Amino acid sequence: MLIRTEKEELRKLVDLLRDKGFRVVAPVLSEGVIRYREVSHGGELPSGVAEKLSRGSYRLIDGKEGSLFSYTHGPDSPKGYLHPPLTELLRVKPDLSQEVPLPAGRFAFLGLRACDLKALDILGRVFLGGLFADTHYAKLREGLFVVGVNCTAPSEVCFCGDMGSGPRISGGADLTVTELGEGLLIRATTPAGERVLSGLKGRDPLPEELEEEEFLIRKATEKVVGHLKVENLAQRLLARLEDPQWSRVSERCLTCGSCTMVCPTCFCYEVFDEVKPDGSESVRLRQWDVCFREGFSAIHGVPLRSSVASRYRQWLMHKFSYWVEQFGSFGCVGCGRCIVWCPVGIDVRESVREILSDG
Amino acid sequence: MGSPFELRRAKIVRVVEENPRTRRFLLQVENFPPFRPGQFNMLYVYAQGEVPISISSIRRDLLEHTVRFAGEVTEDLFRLGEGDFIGVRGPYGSCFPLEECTGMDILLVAGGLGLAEIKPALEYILEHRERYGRVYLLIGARDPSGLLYREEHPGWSRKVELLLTVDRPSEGWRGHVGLVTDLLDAVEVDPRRTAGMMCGPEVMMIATVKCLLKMGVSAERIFLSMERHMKCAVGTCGHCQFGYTFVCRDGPVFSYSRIQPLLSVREL
Repeated sequence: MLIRTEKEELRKLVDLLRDKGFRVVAPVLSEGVIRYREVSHGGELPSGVAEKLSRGSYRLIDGKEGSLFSYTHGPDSPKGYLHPPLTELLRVKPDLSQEVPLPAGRFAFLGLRACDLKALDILGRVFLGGLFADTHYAKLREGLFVVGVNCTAPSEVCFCGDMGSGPRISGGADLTVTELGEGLLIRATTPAGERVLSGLKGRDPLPEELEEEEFLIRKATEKVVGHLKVENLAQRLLARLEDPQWSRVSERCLTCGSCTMVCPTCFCYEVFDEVKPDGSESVRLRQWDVCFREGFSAIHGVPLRSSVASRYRQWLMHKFSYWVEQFGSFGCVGCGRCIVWCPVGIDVRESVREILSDG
Repeated sequence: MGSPFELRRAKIVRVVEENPRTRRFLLQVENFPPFRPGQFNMLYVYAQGEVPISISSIRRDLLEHTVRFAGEVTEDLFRLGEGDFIGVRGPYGSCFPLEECTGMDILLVAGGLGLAEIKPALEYILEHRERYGRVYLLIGARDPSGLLYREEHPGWSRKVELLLTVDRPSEGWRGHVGLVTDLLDAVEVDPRRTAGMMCGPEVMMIATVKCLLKMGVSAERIFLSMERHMKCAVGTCGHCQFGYTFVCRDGPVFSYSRIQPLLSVREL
């Protein structure tokens, strides 16, 4: 099912999904950036906002009046909802009786670009694809509804085309939106999507509207390819594990871990106990951890990766090489967030090229 | 669906002091699932946290773990005694492929506490001694007090060749002094049908692998038990990454051929 509808209908979609019992998470303008937040009504969606993204820099600028998706994305991704920064795993009593505090989910993610959809697919493989399915992730993922957006506003740091994730949505969404100059095209690609779409006003699209959609996506595609050659990348990088260039590419790295926080697929976490003051209960928690931390790799307190270069190598190799063997895909979707939010503007595409000495 | 982080209650039935820093804990756990030599469990001490510890015996009546005092959790564990309860979850990880090595000569090599990981493999072989050719157990330790399970050595040496060495002999030590790889000079096996299985410090394992390859043992038949910082044991926390592997999920036991590109890389 495919309809052409007015932009206002997208705000109605928020209310429609909330009426159906979803916790709707959508882009909102907050704290000077586009954030990804639970919203209570469609009026919270930003309008006429664009972004200027580059190495180590994020600026909001004016977008076309009334436009809904002329920005790319802020620092947040749906990771923060399905794999929250802090999660209670287990409540333990002194007699070792336990309770698993399972969270409530039923999220509707609105406005996800193809890169973030691919990231959801990748995170799903990490948490649900192994021998031990992660109950917390599974619970938050349960009944998920996704409204994707064909990205027509990629930034100069985007390389989703190279990583095979975007800009066109090729699966993982219940509804897919394309923003045209006037109006929207909305496609339902699942039965759940069709049920929701039937609640929106619209008409059949005109042939020129479909052409405009193709034109916009093609134009976006041209911007997001040609930054990184991924053929055999995992193996090519593995052959450079001991390359002296690692010290050079990581020279400016502050090991702050910003890249891992904004990365939509970085999943590493620490597990620790928080004990009630009277000792009556100990809560086992997990919290996002950062492989740039020296203690991350420590065995009995002795770090394995002391040098910054070895930690930068761990992160980059994980994304572009190890992940392929571990989970069957790259760990990078080409969203460019790590480039934008790196305080010293390290461009991971450039790092890969330098390590391979072919760019 | 149960959470992978849920713990079983384990009653400490016996504590055996191996040396001042190493104790053997025998745990009673109801309905503990089957496990294999080389696998490990997460042990939980209330209000303190978990540590990954290899299962150090194939016995099924009680679960055996040999623990070295190494950090906050083990410090608290050492305060507990018979009758106390801890949490346990597992078994996790890969095992030594003993069934696949039927009919072969076997070289078991252990360094220090690594013997805790090798012991269940040895016990399996002792139980099925007729299935294997020549079997050697080479043990190295820093000093004689680091040689674990001394009271069991006489029983072992009746069925396999047991060779010991220490780096720093104490008074009265009459055995070999030097590296565990020195002991390989005395080994007589048919390298074309030999499997090597080892656990110990990485430098020791790297040296041993080199010797075994030189003897003509195939890279696919050399097995190493690796150690990394295992926090979740279910392959999702990322701490135990060793290159393209998760030690908790793909290891701890790896064939040398699987990790050859990673093994000697510094700070990996």
